[in-house]
Amino acid sequence: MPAADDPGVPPVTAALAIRRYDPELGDEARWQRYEIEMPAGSTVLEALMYVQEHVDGSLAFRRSCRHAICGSCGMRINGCARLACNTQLTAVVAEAERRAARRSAAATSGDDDAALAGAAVRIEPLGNMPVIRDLVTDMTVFWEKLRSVQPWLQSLDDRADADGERLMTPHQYAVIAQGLLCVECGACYSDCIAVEAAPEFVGPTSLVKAYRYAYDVRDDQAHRRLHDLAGEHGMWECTHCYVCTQRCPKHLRVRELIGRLSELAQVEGLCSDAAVKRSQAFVAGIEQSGRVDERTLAEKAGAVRGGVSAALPAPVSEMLRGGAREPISDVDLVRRVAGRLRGPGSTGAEGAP
Amino acid sequence: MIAHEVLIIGAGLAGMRAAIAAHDAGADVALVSKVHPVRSHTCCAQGGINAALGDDDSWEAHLFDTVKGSDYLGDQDAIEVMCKAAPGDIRALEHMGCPFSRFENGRIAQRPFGGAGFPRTAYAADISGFVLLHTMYEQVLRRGIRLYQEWYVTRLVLDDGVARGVVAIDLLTGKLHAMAAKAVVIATGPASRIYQSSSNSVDCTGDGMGMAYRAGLPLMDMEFVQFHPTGLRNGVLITEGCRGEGGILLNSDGERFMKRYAPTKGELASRDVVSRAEATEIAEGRGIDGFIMLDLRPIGPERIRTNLLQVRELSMDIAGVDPCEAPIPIRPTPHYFMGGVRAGVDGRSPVAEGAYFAGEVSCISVHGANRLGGNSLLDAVVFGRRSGEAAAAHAAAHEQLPLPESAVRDQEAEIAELAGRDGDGERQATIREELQKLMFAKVGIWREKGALAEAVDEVRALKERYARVRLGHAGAVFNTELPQVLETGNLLDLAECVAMGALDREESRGSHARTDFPERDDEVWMKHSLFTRGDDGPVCDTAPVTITRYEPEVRTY
Repeated sequence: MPAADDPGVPPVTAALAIRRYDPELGDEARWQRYEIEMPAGSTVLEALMYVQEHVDGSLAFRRSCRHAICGSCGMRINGCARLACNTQLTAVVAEAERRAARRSAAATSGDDDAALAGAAVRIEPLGNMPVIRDLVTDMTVFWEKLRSVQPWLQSLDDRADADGERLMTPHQYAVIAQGLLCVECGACYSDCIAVEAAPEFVGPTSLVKAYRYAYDVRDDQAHRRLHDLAGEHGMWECTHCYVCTQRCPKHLRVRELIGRLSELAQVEGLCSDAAVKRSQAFVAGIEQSGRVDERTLAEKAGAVRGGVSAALPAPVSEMLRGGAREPISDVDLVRRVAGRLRGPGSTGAEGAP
Repeated sequence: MIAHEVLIIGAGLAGMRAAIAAHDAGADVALVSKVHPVRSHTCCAQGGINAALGDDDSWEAHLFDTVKGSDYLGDQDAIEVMCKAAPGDIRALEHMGCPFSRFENGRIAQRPFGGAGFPRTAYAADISGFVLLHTMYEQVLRRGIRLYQEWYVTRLVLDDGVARGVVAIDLLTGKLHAMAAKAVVIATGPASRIYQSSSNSVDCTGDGMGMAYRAGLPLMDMEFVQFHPTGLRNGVLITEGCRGEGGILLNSDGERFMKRYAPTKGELASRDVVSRAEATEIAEGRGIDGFIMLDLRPIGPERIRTNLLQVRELSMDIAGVDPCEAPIPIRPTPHYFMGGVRAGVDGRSPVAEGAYFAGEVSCISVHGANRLGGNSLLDAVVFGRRSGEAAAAHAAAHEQLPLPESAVRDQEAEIAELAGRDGDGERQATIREELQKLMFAKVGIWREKGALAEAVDEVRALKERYARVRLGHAGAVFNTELPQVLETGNLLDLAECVAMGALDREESRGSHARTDFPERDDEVWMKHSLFTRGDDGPVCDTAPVTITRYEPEVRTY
């Protein structure tokens, strides 16, 4: 165990089950278990660094800043994409213990793999991208998609030789600041259902970047930016599942920013067929069951082409296997509200009780 | 063989600024970096970047503050270049799209910083380095500049005193490549990982300083290492911007002790002064469990949430404290290398033609014995741009020559020897950890002859152990162990220079505080120290300091 900051506090013991893969060994990915003890307050990244430096030099992962600003150490921990450096080891050990307790209460044996037995913290590479080795993924496509939104200021009025800076109010700065802190770690992209279903979808990270430039008052190419993103594989393929917002280690409201981008596109008259269908499907789903139905949304938005296929990736097909969702108990109330909203004026203010 | 007119090693702020400048000057440029550009350590810079933008401010005032901050060791001609260029360079960044926080009138906002006579630090909340880094990367993308990312450069190749290129490992495949160039700009950052609890990224391992030193280029002023006054328990930084915004430092008596050490500037004295004051308070029993309290509550929760958002999160994640409600426990933490590879105001090495250095790897000597907050990003931007322009001009005037064939062969042989060593030797991590502990304990804020001499001996003993170190993984694909072993070799060489420089310099100046020589000694030590690689460690020499405007005075804040 590495030296503790405060020897008075008991250490954390953890079993890490790490997804290993080495193309040079030519084998399939496998789980490997490491039993470790770390000082209280350690992060998952500190645990991984300890393993690599003192237990197993073959373990590969990316890391750099250790405090959630460089974006290097994105990985799936207990099934969710996170940054290892701002994830406390105790927190994910507790998660794993709860999962183990649920499994034993349900009297299921859990996984066959001995490496996963008991309350092992599962650590895997990010999803939606190929694995190079162990926890290191090939982010080439991710970076290409980011580049595709032309993430640089574009202005016909670029007075680069001007004496002064271009002006911007604190409020205008605050608007783009909502999207500035994206560290491009890939956590949202890894767990994005729409990317999983349609790998060409530009993805949430790129849309956050597009938001930051479309709303920058110094940029005068918003219309063209939005036009490019209103087409196929653009913003309308987002299924509003909000996983991106849940996953973001910097607490960016990712889906909300995508929504702001869509609003601007509608203002600019760039609402595509897919977008109209998506909105209709959204309303129809609510009226029918009182729920947001991701299944119909994905279909109507064109994210899932060629019908529902058994070959879809696990989370999507799992979602679809659920079939039509049961209406909520007071769906009639939802329908009445919807009816009012559809009424004269069609704004909530007039029609609301 | 890979060949480009200008090769830039390191893709942080200085490297990418150099790449953009060289590209815009018409050169064929490529960036080589051991990490993806946005992962570079620049992203950790929080507080901001200095420039005399205000109507009441002037580059002369910025020059004076910087000279005084440097404890008169900075070269005043170089500082003048930087301070004069600052406003134009910052406006250029703004035009590239860098988002800066703004005043109500729409102009770039500026906040007070330590050691400055004017609120001169432009910023973007507390993510200034981060937004600059991303803006540079986006400009690199816009220009389609060739990027070799996750390539680890192992050596700078000189032939007859002329830079010919580098040798690098493509980490994805493990293959070694010769990369030829007419000019090489090295911008690989600091070596602060010689210390425990450093504020720096794990990647700040002095690779560029190490390769320059091995190639025979002199390092300068290596004994000057800045301790930042406000690090969290694990070294992660809390920006000086907190004090610029009105945060205060308290000891265990709840006293604003900085009043005693710096009656005029208080918390906004220069960093060396504040760090020493904190260390004194802690040593004299007025710390709280070894920490000082940084109280941000005078700033108010609203401004904390907009301008110090990251600080708040780091404080909650690492210290378990919400600074809107309680003070943050902080302590001095190893932060910045004022020293580095000796270079001129165009980044040019005085001894190796075609070799340029910019950013923290370099010692152009704008920071002297102590850097002012907000001047490091500025150094990277100004001298990054200038070295890129100079490298492009050099490339335009010279022929492309191939790399000597032996360069890759020699490197291959070294790695093969390393990989073939006995299987039960120790690995690099134990050596690196011991180095970090001993440097922190014996070459830290306070220094003294006996401990420094021990440190030199101990570093040399570690170098002997390092010569037998074992590689913990021999695979080719994304082997992270191999670069770590090579990095530790760099750290050992550089730590030796730091410790020897600290032992030699028998005075106290800026960040270098000798308990046995507590006064500044301008008679003997108003000079730079130089370190050139010899057979048994560094050969030390000195060089004169350039004084143009401001004669040394007693330094108080």
